[in-house]
Amino acid sequence: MTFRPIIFAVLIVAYGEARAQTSALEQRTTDYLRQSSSAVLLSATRYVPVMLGRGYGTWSSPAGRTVIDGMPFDAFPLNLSSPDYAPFDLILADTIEISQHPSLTETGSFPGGMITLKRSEIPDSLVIAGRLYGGSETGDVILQEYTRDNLPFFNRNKIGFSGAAVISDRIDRFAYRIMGGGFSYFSVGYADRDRILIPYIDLPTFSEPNRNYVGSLELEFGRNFSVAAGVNVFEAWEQAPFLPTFAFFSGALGSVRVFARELIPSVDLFARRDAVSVTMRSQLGTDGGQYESSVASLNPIVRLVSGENLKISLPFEITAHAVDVHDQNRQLFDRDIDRTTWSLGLSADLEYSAWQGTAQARYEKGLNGSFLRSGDVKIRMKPGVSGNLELHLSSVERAPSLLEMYGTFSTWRFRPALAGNDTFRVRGTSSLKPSRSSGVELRFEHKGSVEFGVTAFYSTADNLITRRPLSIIRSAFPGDLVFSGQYENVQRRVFGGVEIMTYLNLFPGVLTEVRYTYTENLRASEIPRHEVLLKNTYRLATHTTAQVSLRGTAKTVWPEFAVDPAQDDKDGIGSNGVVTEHWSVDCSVVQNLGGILFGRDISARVELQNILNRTFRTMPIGVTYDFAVIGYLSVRL
Amino acid sequence: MTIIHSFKILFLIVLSSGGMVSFASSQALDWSETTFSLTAQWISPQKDFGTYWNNGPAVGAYAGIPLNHPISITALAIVSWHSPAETSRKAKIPQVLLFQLGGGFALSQNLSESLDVSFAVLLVNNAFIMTGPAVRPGFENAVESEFGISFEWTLTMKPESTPPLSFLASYQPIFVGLDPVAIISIGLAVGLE
Repeated sequence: MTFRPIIFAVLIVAYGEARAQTSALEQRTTDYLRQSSSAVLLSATRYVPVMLGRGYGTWSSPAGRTVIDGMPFDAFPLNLSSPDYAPFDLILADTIEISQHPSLTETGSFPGGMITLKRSEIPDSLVIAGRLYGGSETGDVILQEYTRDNLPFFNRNKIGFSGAAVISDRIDRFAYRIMGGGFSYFSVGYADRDRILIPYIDLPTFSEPNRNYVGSLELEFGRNFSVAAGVNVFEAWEQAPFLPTFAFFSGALGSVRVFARELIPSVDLFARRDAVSVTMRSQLGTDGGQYESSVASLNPIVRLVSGENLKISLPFEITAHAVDVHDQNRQLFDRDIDRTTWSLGLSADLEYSAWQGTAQARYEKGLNGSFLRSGDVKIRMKPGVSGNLELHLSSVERAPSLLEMYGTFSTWRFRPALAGNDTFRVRGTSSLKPSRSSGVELRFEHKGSVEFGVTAFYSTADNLITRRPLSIIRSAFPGDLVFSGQYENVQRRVFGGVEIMTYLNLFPGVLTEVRYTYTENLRASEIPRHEVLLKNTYRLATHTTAQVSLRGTAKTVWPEFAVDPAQDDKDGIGSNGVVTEHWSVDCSVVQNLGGILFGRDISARVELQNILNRTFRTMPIGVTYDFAVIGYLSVRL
Repeated sequence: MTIIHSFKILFLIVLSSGGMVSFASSQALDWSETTFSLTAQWISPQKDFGTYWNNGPAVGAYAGIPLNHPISITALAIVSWHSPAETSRKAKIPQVLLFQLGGGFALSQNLSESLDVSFAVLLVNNAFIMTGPAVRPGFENAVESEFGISFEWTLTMKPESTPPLSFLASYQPIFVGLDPVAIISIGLAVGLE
């Protein structure tokens, strides 16, 4: 029996309804995305996706640009392009969507797709709500500390008590919402398997978890004017995409966004300022560094035609980019940088009978002074009452980032063959050419008594900007992968495939979701060829649901992280850069507890991740994932 | 085994599990039907835990609430005592107070009007409290915990004139590093009316 006929069979007999898990009963945004979409979030550490399976980015230029309030958020530290580092929390979310296709919007271009964080509307009455979670992976050496000699003292990954609270109210035309949250997780890895992390951690840092403190304030003055501000204070051990080694860094990022619709007739104005301050601590073989960067943007949109069936607008954007460093700073950035970029676009929406079309064009001056041309066409039609057919064509050009052009980093390791230290450097390249991501996507969805969707996709990336390793070693101590590298435009990447999803209601009280993606990854071996998600949701009682899900990914190959045996100072066996196939089974139970004391809507959830305790990791470097138990609680007053 | 073979097997298992759990009707929780029982058990540690520590007595309590027949939610709190076993490392081994706190689902079947059997799967948090002179300096009475999954079989007799009496047996792998250990428990439980 093969896999294909099974999927085909369930497509034929299927009927059901789509249903999403309550977002307040998840960990962070990336966890929600992992649970609710077919996107493969590739990450070196736990909660930081640096690359999506289909939205092709690179390890150094992450895909999935984050969008908040309809505008890109551009102040992630060291290219850590994770929504978990945004000034946002799930408790604010209405929807969170991943688009893995190159695309344009009125406020930006997204060559590797986008992660859109959309806030829920502020309710009409006073609302106070909160969510809390905490848990642990298994595997502490509780007993073996006494039964075995010379066991290294180490901790395992834990998720400290984390959560967020929000208060909001609407008084006539004025509305406000205030959110605050704190999140902690250990990222210290495993002494027996993840040597990359443990040796860096000094005693004071050992028991300290990674932390994020998030806050936001929203004010609405009528329907047309609003302000949103947010902050995320962080400290973490992470393998940041730009760096060749793990680093402990800390800092703060913030954002202020202003929306003025119909500022003058037919003109909307969006404005934003995103800024981040990053400090990297000195550590074994690595000097510290510090920088501040900011992006300030004015984005007026002129609505030329606002008819019922035809809308035409002219978005314009002017953006100031700045990097500031101290005089003695030689890590990350070694100079101040100021750039101004602009863009001019044309956007048209046409709706005619069962047809709907969107076309966008964008002409812009990039960070390196080059002029970029991008286009995006989307056509939707309804062949029947319950069917939906969509064709998406796009070609998006991207200028190199400031880190890719001017970033600098060095670290050293002891090399036994040299009987001394060897220095490894990563350098930006100021002469990089823009890269272009192009794609076509055809999607058919059917909703009703039978619900399923089929998507075919084909993408290319030309002049892709990535870090070419000049040398890579596994160090004698602590056994980490360290490399020298230089940013370059590389040969064309091509990949395409098909995704199938369906919701089934084969048995009373049981909803089954099936997703399968096949990717023919020509010269893009970091994308898994097979991805599968099978999720069963059981309605055990009126207020009790349970879920069992199976998630699997075929092997991936990462030439960038392959180590020649002669360069393996630790074991002498090298590494082929292959991450073997893996699958995991997760379970969860959600219990609605109703009202208790002052709470009028209380829900609890227990989640067992990787219940079969299969060791896996998503990249050649980084920490492993084991069986974990996490408890959640959400309360609404 | 390749990933495709693994997928095929697990796909069929997870898909077919839908058929095993189908319900004629759904109900809300009725907290007034909560039941409690007291238990006394004998706990036998396995693997490293059993090599270096002795079997020990345990006492505790169970709570249960019907969810949707034949499924009920069950919870337990059990404490046991384990002294160091006679090994060459005895002087380096502390005494262990093991505190189990768990919850899960039970599937029950009436064999007759006065006899039930049930099988439960519980997620258990095992807190190991180390005491005595062998405890690592600075960690006296420190509590370190680890999760385990308990599989429990129960035979319950329901005499008309006395409280229900249950015979229990369970096996629980505990996911401590570097190699998981386990405990086997046998005991009695008396229902509280």
